[in-house]
Amino acid sequence: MTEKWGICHIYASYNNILVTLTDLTGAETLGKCTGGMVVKAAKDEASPFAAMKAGESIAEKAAEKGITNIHIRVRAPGGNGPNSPGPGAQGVIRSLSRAGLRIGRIEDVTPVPHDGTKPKGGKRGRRV
Amino acid sequence: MAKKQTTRESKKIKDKWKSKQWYSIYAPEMFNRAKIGETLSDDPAKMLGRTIEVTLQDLTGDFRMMHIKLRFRVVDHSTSDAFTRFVGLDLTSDYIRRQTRRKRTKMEGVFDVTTKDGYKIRLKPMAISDKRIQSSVQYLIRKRMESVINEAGSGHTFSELTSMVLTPDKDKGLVTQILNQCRPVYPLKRMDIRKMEILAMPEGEDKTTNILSAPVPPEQEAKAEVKETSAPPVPEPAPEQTTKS
Repeated sequence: MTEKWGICHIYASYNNILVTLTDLTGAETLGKCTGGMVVKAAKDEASPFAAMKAGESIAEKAAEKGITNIHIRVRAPGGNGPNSPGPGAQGVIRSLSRAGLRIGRIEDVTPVPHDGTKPKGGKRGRRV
Repeated sequence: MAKKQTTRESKKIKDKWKSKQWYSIYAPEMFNRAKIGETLSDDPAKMLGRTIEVTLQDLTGDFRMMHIKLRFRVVDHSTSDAFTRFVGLDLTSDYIRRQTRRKRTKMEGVFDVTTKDGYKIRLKPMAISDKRIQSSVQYLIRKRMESVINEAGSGHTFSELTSMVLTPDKDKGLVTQILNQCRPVYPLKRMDIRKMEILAMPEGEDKTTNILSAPVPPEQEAKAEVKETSAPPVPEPAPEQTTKS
């Protein structure tokens, strides 16, 4: 078998971005990279640039392990937090496909509560 | 000293990677034992219990089925293969989100059935109407969903029920049966089995009944092709993402 599949889990929050490459079962980690690993400043951890860098490093690791095709699972914080992925999610996907990995499915796996706990911030919201 | 430690550590990790081996994962008999993927392990016993998610499109090649996800759990292995059991079905979240809109009614139900061969199954149907409908009508539709599902569940074995849920053949499908039953009440736009879970397996019916650990027949190779070709070549990831963020 020439092509090997993997899953790229992308967790994109507004503060950071975590990329984990696993096999199809998700049990075996093949590589991981985060926004904090590639940039110095904490404010840049979730930036598209950091995401791009992280994606590149993941693509490198994938090549090392012989992964040629990937499915992608994008995830935002979810729960009672934001349900839309942060700014970095796109950057990772773009740099992965730019690096020559073939991409299968892209799926949103944000955990959505059926009805969960009360979001923080109090009754009148966050007052800045 | 510290330097020595780091080199030793890196060496250890490398060895760990080398000791791992790729195992092909096969679907159960119910799905013609198609090859559904590969996994990596240093000890085959560690693979037991891993789950893999595959779309029905990957198994059948029918792109209309790409929103249905099937889950398989590894229950047995041979020297280079892993064998699985069907453990459930799910719809992709974006599909459900596409169906639910304003001024449409979504009706859901959760029904537990016991199949003829003793499996306890939870089925969650989902019906979508083209207009908003009254709650009394919704109630009737849910009633009918329940009666069809109970009947189908108790009258069939587990594998028959599964193929009824998954079949692309309209006449035999569970979904069509429910739609036909509901039509006198209200003509529904869409009907799906949103989720299928196995709550309990019959006593004595051990994990190994669904699978055979015999070597894989050669026609597997042809089946394996289906998966590879069905995957779209680099799709455009950008549009989907832009809508989300």
